[in-house]
Amino acid sequence: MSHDAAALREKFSELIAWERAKRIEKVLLEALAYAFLAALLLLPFRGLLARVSPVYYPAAAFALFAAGFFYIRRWRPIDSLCAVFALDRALRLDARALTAAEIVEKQDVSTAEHYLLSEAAERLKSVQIRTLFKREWSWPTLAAPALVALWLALVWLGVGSGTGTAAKSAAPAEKLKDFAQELEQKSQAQKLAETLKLARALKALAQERLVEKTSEEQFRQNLAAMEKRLDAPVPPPGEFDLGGYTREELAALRAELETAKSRLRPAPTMRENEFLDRLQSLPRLGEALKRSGGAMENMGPGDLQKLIDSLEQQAANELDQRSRADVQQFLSMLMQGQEGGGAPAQARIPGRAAQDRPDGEKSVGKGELPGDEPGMKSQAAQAPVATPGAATRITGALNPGASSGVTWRSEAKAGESKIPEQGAPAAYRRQMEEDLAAEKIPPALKETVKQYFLSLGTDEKKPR
Amino acid sequence: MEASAEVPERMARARKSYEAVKAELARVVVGHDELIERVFIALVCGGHCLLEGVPGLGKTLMVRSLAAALNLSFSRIQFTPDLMPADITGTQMLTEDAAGKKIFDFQRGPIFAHIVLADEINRATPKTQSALLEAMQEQSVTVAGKGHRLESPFMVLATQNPIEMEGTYPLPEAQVDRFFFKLLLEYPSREELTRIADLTTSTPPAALDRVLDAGAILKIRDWVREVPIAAAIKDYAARLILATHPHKNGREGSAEKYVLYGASPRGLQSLVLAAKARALLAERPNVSFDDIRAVAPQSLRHRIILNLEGEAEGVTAEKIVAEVVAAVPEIEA
Repeated sequence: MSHDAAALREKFSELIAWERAKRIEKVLLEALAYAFLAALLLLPFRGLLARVSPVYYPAAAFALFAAGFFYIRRWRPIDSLCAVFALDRALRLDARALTAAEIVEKQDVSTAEHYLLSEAAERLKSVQIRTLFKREWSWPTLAAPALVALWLALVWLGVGSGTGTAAKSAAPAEKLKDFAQELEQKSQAQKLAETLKLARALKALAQERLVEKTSEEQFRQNLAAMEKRLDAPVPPPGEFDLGGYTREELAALRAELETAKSRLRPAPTMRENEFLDRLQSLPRLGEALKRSGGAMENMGPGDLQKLIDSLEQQAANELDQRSRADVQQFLSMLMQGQEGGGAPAQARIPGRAAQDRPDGEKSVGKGELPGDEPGMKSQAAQAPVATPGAATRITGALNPGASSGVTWRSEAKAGESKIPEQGAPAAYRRQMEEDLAAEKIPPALKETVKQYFLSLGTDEKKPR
Repeated sequence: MEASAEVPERMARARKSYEAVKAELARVVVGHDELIERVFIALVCGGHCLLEGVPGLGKTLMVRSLAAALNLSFSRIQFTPDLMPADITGTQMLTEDAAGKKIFDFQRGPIFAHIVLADEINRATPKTQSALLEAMQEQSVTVAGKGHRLESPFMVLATQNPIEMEGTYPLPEAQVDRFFFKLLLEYPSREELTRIADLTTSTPPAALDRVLDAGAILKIRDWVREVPIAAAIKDYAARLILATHPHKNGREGSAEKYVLYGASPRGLQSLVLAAKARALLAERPNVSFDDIRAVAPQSLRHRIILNLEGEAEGVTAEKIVAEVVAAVPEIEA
């Protein structure tokens, strides 16, 4: 092969390689643009594709478009010819390049062909292929970055996430998030460190699901793992038995303990045993000490301080445990609802019972109901008749004012108790508190019910 | 490398030869530059030309001048209805040899010349016209079962008048196809007419110089055939030919509607060979798409047979060729 033929062959190879590279780039960019366009069009219908994360839409569409484009625009011998032809046209070579491209492949070259090769080589010697044939940007390639940005923005804004089954699958996560946020606020207000940690863990779980970092299956597994962690044995009650306290009473007790701590601080002008006088005005503290068998009168300020600290710690622990039980119950209901193919119909967030009535109407608290004077029992109140083994619904106007309905879940199932014996009275009391708060107990029976459940566990003779 | 250095030299020589012939003809022929170029191309390609034009445009003058400038033998045959084939090819004459014995001797007809002017070829009967067929294709004539070779270069330049159709015999398609080019003579412009008046009414010009001989023409003929042509360009020429055929071109156009039969493979040979000659005369070492396009009308117009609808609507073969050239892409998958 002559020097001219070798130079030409190299030039033509460079030209064809450059054109092929340009085509590949163009195909990829156009496939990308069309993929994101398709993903954008699919985004409003992501509810119909609940099992597939929107992140995969462009990837799948890109694979399809790229495969199709690469097949349709595959490089063929005619494309090489067209590339050389374009070179001819661009340099006005009058088909010299086209003819030379054929001749360089021949073994026997005539004199005239040899001359043509040398002339073509001379003309093509200084040609910069990449400068002569610059990249051309079609509208899809120009639109690709904008489409990608638009798609990312819409996914970030969650467009289409509120439709169809995707919304249904996201509903538990939304509920968990609401629950966790409320729990977080509550724990911050009440300074419950353990509950706060738990609330944040739940919030993180919900958030992961909401931003599609975890699949629905993974989310369910995470919920189950969390519930299992909460199943850990409850530590034995401490020095004080606070099991009989309602949540409100415990909160009030903690408030009194805060006050007591401030009153116990020695003041220069304080008389001897003056602190006892100051603590007399804190009835719940006195009652708690009484229950534990102690008496303030027999204690010095130091002993009393230790006792109050211990009591405060135990009250906080008790509230943490109750929150833990609430969370466990919520998770259990949430998971049951999910397995049923949607959000739990009966699932409600403890402490938010008043907002969870099926009719959407906000429940009215006891104090807001007309008819009763504070401390007075209604004359018309009657005990409801409950039928064991079946849900009983009692409906009727017990007092003038808004009507109320009660659903008692009295259906029992055979099997081992899921609640440890030690925690049973506390769990019952929590259930009672929730039902009271949700106005499920007729006002006339509230006090009776409350007293009954508060008495559980405090009297050893009573059957459990 | 040394061999390839000959190529520009031969291209220059071919160009120079053409320029010399053209300059010599310009002394007696006014205008017709393109016509002269095409005739020269046909000559160096070994083809024959059919010249069509109204009387008085200088057809005969041009042919005679060409023969004079080329230092080639020339004969003119005036075609008339009573012209016989033997009047063209020659005949066996009974003569006596030196010993007094009677023998048949072949008397060569006017066809035995380098350049033959077949004037008003369409006035002879088809039988006589056919006498040219063998000579034009095979460059030989057969008389009384014996073949006689014609000298090279051999070129028939036939003329015909397109307006006087009475008493004429249209050339058969087979014969028309044997013409390399069909050239149309345009009426001269105002300036050209003035020059014609000057040339023909003043002192006659001196006899033309013989600027090219048969050997030089045959050499150029060899060089023409050596001009490289890309397969893509040959493919383009082939697609042009197919596009003149109805039902074969895959396009909707005049060819589909008005053509009875398209260009023959001889049309392709003419197209490619003429393009090679044109490239050589342009001192270009290869054939370009423009070369093909430039010679397409002359190569194809007489090879396209219009149907009745085309004839009725006055469609011309030139129009069909122009449309085909415009429609066919240079590169096609």
